[in-house]
Amino acid sequence: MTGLVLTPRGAFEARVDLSGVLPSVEGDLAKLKIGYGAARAELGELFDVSGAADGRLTIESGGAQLDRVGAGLSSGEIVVKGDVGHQVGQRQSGGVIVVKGSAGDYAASELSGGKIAVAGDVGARLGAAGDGAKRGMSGGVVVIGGSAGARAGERLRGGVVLIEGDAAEGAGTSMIAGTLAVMGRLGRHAGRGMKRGTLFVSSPEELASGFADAGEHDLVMLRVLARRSHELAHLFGGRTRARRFAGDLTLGGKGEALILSR
Amino acid sequence: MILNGVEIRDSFAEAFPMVGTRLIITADTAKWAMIAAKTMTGFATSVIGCGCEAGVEREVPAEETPDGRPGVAVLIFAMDYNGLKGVVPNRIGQCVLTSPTSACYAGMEGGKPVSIGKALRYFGDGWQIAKNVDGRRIWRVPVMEGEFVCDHETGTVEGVGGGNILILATSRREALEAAEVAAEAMAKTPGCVLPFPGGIVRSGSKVGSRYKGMFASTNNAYCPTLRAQGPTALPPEVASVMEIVIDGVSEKAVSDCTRAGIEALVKLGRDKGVVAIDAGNYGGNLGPFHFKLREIMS
Amino acid sequence: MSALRIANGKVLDPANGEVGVERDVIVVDGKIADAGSAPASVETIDAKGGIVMAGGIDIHSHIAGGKSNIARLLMVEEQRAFREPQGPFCGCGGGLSTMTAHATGCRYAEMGYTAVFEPAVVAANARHMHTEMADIPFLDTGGYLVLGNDDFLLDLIASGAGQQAVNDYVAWQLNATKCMAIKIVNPGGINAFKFNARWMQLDEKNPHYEITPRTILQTLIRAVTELGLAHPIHLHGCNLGVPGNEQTTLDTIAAAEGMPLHMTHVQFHSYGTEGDRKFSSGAAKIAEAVNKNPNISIDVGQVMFGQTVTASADLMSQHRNRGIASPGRWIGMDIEMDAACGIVPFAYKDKSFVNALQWAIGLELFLLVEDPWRIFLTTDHPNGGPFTTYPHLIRLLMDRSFREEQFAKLAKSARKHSNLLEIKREYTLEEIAIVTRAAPAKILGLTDRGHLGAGAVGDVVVYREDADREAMFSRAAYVVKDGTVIVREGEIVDLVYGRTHQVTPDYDASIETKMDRWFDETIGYKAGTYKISDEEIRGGQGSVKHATVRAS
Repeated sequence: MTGLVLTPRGAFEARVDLSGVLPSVEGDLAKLKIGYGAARAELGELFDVSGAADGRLTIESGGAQLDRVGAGLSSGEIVVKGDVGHQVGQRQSGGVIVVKGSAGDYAASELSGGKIAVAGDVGARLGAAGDGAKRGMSGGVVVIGGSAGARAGERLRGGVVLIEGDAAEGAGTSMIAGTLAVMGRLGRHAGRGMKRGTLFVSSPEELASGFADAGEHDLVMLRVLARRSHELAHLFGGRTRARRFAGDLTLGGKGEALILSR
Repeated sequence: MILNGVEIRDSFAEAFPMVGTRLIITADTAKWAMIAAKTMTGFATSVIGCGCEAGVEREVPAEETPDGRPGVAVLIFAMDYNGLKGVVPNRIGQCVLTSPTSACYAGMEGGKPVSIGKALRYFGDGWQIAKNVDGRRIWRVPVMEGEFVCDHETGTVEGVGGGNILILATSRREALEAAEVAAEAMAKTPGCVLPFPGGIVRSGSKVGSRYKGMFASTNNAYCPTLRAQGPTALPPEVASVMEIVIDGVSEKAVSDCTRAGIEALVKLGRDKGVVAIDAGNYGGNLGPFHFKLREIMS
Repeated sequence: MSALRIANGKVLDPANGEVGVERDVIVVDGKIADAGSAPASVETIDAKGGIVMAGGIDIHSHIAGGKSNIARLLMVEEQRAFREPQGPFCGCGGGLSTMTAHATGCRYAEMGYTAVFEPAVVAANARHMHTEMADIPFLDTGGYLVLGNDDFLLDLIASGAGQQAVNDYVAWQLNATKCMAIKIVNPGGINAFKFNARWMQLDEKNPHYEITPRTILQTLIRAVTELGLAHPIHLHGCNLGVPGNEQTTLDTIAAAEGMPLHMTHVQFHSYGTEGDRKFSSGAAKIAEAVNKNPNISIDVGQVMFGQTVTASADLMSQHRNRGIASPGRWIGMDIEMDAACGIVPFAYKDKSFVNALQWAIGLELFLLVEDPWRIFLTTDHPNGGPFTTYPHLIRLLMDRSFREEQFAKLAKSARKHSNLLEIKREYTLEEIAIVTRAAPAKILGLTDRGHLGAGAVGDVVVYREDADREAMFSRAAYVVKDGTVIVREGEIVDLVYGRTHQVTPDYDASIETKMDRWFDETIGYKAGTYKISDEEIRGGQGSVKHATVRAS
């Protein structure tokens, strides 16, 4: 079974708002009204809809104009065989979204549960607070195979975000809680304004100026996290020691940036 | 019923519902995990005098513990949920938080929660850190030695307390040796602890006393030195009696544990001085759980 | 020539004494025409089983201006929670208590409203207000200029410059800001706040100018009467929201001394201090005074339960309320040293003693004021609740058993303190048509609105008859604006824009020099810059100037 399959009928002339297009949707998916630029269109006008609902939704070929893919997803699986636009998995509370290509800005914004995996790069403000919200992602797991744009994890307050590539400037800005790991290079001012939470980074060079060295420690916590998160176990690779930088002290923050020791 | 010369008396242990929880205590070494576990389950023999009954359930190999270090599972039982809520954080705070390299994790899920880090984090005086991963929250409390790590809370279970057997033997030495063998066998049962010293009680009690304000007093019918001064439960050849008390997470766990004990004693046989196996009860009207010895062994 | 026939409906037009008359309504070139004058080719709407009324008129709703924008910023999460979905006519903006301009027009139109008036134009922000009102589709609009705390006026009064000087100043301001009426907010109190006063009684002297709210009120009442403005002073009185302010309100009614006075959101001014919680309903006393004084009209400012935002020029009262903001944030600001603004988000809860009693007090006012021509249906949007709650409010007024059902949900403590259950009155459809259309048009002097007589503007609404009045008034079957069908079955089908109403009383030109000097010396920019030109109102198209009679 492959579940429902959406195949674009052609190139899109405007941005497509796919919020509401979920594997659990009842009734005729092709008749569902979605946003198309400033107007509304039926999903079936833009996509060929085939297959039967079984909790799985596949979008063939994808496209950078497809916004809000899987927004509000609570269960089931969405697979995109290509790129997506902005706000993929916005306010998702469960289920899984797999993007084989890259994603735009505000990916996983305010995610509260479930998992999002993007094989390629993501734009700015991964897992961040969206318009009018005070807090970013609060739970769940996000894995980015490529690199992330500016301010990844801004106002993050829970969950685990793993960026296997680089993160542009301002990663973890104003983080409230949660865990943000960057395996590649770090842009400037990482962790600026961080209140609490944990950054895993590979070098202290680009941490915001309010971070101070607290020495190297064998942390029992790392052993626990490795057993509760596949993603963090992959990151740790059996390491249980880390150099701890506390910050952002300029704001009285109680967060930390950890650099795993060889 | 007589097995290998040992009389299994037509009696039953009368047990009560208790609320219990399991904790996994780990440390850098198995030795320190056990020290912490033993300390936190100390002075927890009888709920009447200690507020709870607790004991070590088993050693947990490193690969099974939440942090991959050697660990010990302990069980703690109280009369009700409110009792347990008070006694668990108190014991962890005094005996595990303080014990070098230790960490403390939930050993069961479900039931009403009992605080671990939820209560102990305040020792961190604002420096404590919560990490919430995979839907479960751990606390990191900075301490002089490093960090004390613990789960936010643990689950609870409606268990059974007060299962028991009485070992009637021909001498004090033989009674103790038999009790040791039985306790060792019984301690292997999953989901049970033997809360008394070394698992053994030498001072079984009856309900009530001639003195005001005492709820329990010596079980004179089983005291060998009193056999001339009133009704006795002891045949002439019995010179000493030991009791083993069992608390378990379920009726089945207590029943399994009882059988393990009787089997070990029967294996020793009359030749090793075991005359009879009996059980303590209050006539069957107080506790809802009745562990009938002959039924268990049939 | 365009023409439209609304056929087979029951016409409810209290201004012309028509109650459920079965007749066709003809709109020719945007105006209501005589039934016989329909041209041969005419588009026909079948209104069978429908009630036909004039377009709704909201006399008091904060829909535009600086405070609305500040409220949107403060409650930014609302813009996301209530997002306008993409669409051909209404696909932008959003919000509920802090609705954007476009959404405001859409929501009002869907309910059958075609004219809504902004009751608090701070002069310095008038340009913003006009720009924003022009952006609201479907609705005729107009603003009431806030005076009574401005230094120039207070100085005129304090220095004894005389009524004529005040009249000239008021006329100059109305012309400069292109407004249609004068509003007073907490007369002298906002100014006194800046001199550290935190309370202001009707006969208490301003700490700086040493004049009382009574003097300011009476001077301005005289000014609008003498200038011949149709709408009387639109008064937000002293002591808003203060327990015991019923006496202030009664004193204010007396202070009008028989001259016309409109008192706004009176619910917030009808509180007693009886009972164990020192908070009680003054509605009965206020209603009695309104009934006895035909010069007084009121709008209610009904409290509706739920999240909203209170936005007011009355910084003195908003400063008092800042501690009960929910969510816990507020903005208080001075505006150009001549006015002020306070934004306090608020969640009215039916289980709160005070909120529940406020709700009951509003309803008591509605039900105890006897003359429907002198009371208007408002929630003081968004201060008592967003205007989208009007259909629910209409049902509360029309359906006693529904009202009692809702009453039963209130906090027990509030139920004990309210006499609402003793009031058996139910509004008739005719009375609803009066309080939402005919009476507002009358009190604003809009002679071609609020009725369906020949010559009136072609603003016509058809409501599908429904025993559930909330459902009936939530989505109009048809709404016609100036002869164009804009709503069918509750859905917007066309986009049109309304007009801006204003008055242009003349004044002694010698005041120009004084105003030039005043702006140069104290305001910091030119009076010429302050004045709004005709071209700035809807691009020079679509303003309606109402005649005034200067009685000098």
